[in-house]
Amino acid sequence: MAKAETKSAGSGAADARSDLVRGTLEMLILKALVPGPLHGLGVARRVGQITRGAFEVGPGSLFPALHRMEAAGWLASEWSESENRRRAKFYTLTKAGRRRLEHESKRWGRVSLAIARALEAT
Amino acid sequence: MRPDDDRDLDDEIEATLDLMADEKERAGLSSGAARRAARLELGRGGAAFGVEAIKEGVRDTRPRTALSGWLSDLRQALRGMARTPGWTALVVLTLGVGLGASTAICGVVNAVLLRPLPYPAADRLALIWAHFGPESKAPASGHQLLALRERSRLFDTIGGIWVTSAALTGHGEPEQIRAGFVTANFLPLLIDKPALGRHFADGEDGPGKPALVILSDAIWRRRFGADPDMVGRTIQMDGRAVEVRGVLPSSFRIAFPESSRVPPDIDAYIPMPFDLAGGPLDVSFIRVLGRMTSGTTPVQAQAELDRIGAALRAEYKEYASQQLGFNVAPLHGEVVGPARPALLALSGGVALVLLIACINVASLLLARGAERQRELTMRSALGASPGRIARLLLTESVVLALAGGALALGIGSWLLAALQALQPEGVARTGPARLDLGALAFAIAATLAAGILSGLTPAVAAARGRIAEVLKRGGRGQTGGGLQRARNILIGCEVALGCAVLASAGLMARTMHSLVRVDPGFEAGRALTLQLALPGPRYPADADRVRFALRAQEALGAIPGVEVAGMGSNLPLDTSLPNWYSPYWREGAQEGERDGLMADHRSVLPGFFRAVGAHLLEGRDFTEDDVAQGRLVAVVDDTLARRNWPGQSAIGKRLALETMIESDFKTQPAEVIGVVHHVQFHSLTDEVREQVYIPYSLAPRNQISFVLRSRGRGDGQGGSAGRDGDDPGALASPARAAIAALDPDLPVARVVPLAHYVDQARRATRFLSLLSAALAGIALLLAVVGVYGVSSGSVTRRTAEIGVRVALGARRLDVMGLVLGQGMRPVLLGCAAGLGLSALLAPLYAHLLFGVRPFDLATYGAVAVVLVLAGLLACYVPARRAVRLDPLDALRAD
Repeated sequence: MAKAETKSAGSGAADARSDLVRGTLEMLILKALVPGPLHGLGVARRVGQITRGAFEVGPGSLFPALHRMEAAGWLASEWSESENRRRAKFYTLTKAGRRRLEHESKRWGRVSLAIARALEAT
Repeated sequence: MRPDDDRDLDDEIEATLDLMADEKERAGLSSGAARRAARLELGRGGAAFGVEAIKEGVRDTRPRTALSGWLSDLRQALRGMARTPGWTALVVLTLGVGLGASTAICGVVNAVLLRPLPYPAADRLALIWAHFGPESKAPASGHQLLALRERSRLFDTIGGIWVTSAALTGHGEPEQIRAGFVTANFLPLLIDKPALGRHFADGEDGPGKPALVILSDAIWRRRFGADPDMVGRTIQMDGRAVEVRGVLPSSFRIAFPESSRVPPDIDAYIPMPFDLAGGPLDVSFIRVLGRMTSGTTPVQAQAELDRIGAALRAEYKEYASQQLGFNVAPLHGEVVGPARPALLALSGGVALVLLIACINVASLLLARGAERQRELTMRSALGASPGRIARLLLTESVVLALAGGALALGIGSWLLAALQALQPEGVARTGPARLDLGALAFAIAATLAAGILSGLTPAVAAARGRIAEVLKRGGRGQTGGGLQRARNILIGCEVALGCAVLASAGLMARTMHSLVRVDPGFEAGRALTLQLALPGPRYPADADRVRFALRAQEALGAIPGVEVAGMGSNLPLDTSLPNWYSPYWREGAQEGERDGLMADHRSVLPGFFRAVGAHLLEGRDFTEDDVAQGRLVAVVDDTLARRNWPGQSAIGKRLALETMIESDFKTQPAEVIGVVHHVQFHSLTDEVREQVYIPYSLAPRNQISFVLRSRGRGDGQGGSAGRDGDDPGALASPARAAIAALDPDLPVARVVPLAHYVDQARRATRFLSLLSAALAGIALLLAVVGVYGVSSGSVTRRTAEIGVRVALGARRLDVMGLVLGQGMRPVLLGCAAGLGLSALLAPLYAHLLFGVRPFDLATYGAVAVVLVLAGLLACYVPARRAVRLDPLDALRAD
């Protein structure tokens, strides 16, 4: 892990930035799924809710993220009936997903602390 | 990406749309408006566009192992190809046919010309020909063989073979087989070890040695049931007990040039029982094979043979007057030599066809690349990197090339089998032909490169940011007149090349036609032939053989339905028997002139000329009396008569001729009593040698052939050689019975119509003309496909323009004329260039032609007509489509 981080840090500012955004989106999706399974649109709406509208997740980034995270094993998916009796694909947090959320939250805590300190320092 | 995953994604997005629409509806929108709003939100910038972008985004997240990445590309490629099935089929077919034909023919050429012969140290094997008088590739006499063996240092082994036939008896039906009399060291030159038993040991050849034989695999299986204990068994050959020394493996075949009269399928090898040292100096019959010491070049070997020849001429006056010498000829070159011009011409034809196929594919890919410019630009606009696009194009090309290659393998192996079945004896003797995978691989690689290049141009244009420009052009994928010009030039080239291939095929067809019409000096129709070999031990004296031959001829002539039976030492165009030729001179010739002339030597019974249908020009046939008295009389052919007595009658003139009385060769003067038209004994096209016929009693050989001419329903006159007239096959069993009644132990061999030998003589040419016709067919097909593709593409592109013209009042005929005119321009130009190209190429294969000039105007004209008609046909289909266009539809087509 440490090794991978060094590498990504060395590969340039652009990568680091998109990693940051991607990491944030992933963390928010994980967070949104903690209470229970949701379909894609539900995830988008829940993220809107928990960030009080600060984050609006467009489908163009939502679906790739969901699929990426499923492939990584953090999410599981299954087709079932939605509240208004539509068939939809529901995503659930896996164990790995929970661990990931924990890890991301800690990292996020560290990063935001660092940023806050940096901002205070000026 | 697996299809399941993709379908799942489609469903998921569809479901999300529904969910969004539900939301909007709950918020108070009508169901239609809700749906539109949902689409808008999901898309954010244009319906399908957005959904596709999402899908693309998701696909990019999939864990991309190398395999799944390729699978995803592969799937897209297959989808793209499935969208244009006609185009895909054209490319795959073009590749399959073009590559299949070329790999098969390359395989044959490779097997014949390039592969070494399947013998140990094959590159050191060489034939040693004697040359004397006008003969440059003559056999050697026993004395000469021994002299060569004794004096040469640069050949480590010198062996010899003489092929004749023998009778196999005592084990079922008597059977005549081909027997090779060999020196003991001959077979070890060609094979390390027999499959069973062993080679003859040194010294087991020569007179008075025990009778031994080494059998071929074929006769061991057919005649002796593949007996594993064959070695040491005794079999009956020519009425004598012979001990089997060994059996050769099934793969063993003798590869000698056809002119050597050593056929590939010899059934039995027998140590030469002759006293080579004590035989006559100049009775030449042994084909000599030598192995050069390693490191010796043919040039060095030739120099040594020249020295030996000079020494022999100095020591023996016979050799001096003959001007005897020897030529060394590496075996491989001698074997493949006769086939080389035909095969090289064939390879040239294949190269042209392959080129046509490549041009076709290039033209198709070019058109496709232009048509796909919009699609590729779109992909690029959606963020696909040039690398990604290149990979997609590469995948498409790989798929096309592989599909074409697979088809080519199928077509190629089928064609190869067909070629080998048709291949005349004497063409590929070096070994079995295989598909030339090297050629296939090369062609596939070329296709790949062409595919990427033609696809990359639009991709690069897109990457350079000309996206807007391309999209603006409305996606008709035009790159202006440049593309059309390029395709027209390609089609012009294609037609020109096709023209050259067609012209060569036309000339070969004319050659075949001439061969069918050529007068071979005999009539093959209504004639059945059979061959006998009178075993020496049972027919030792001249009188025995003459008596038997006369009785057999009489018995055969008495069969109902037989008009006349004749007997001769050789049959026209049968090249399987040893050919006896010898010097002759006209009476009064000076000593110095005597060895200058050679004639084929035939001993016959009266009736032979009538039976084979030879044309007696002057004088008379032999009589029974001539035979019985052993009168020194001869019939000569018109060539000999003209050469020796130009402007005079040959009748009554005298010649010194070789006779063989009681196995003693003697030159005696004989009186010419008749002149026949030259009979083609060796080939249909070449007059190899002049001919002398003498009564059988002057040279009663033990190899004899009979010809039975059946009574036809017609008048029996005229008609060319061919399968005209009644089927002579019905005479076969009465003929066998007639011979069996005279000698039940005598095998009757090769009971075939005389026409069979004519067929055989035409086989090589028929093979060539068939192949060139097949190549021409393929070339024509490919050219038509190419012309059609371009013309059809042009109609599609100009749909709107044509619509405008029709709307403005253009008549159907005008539209038809427009399309045809445009489509035919490259065809006509290509045709003109092609006729020029044909005239340039024709001299290269002129030696394969017979009875037609390389610049045969009729053939060229016919080729031009065929090409123009084919071109019209190819343009007519799209032209009809253009004519039937509804102007409204046409204008709407963006």
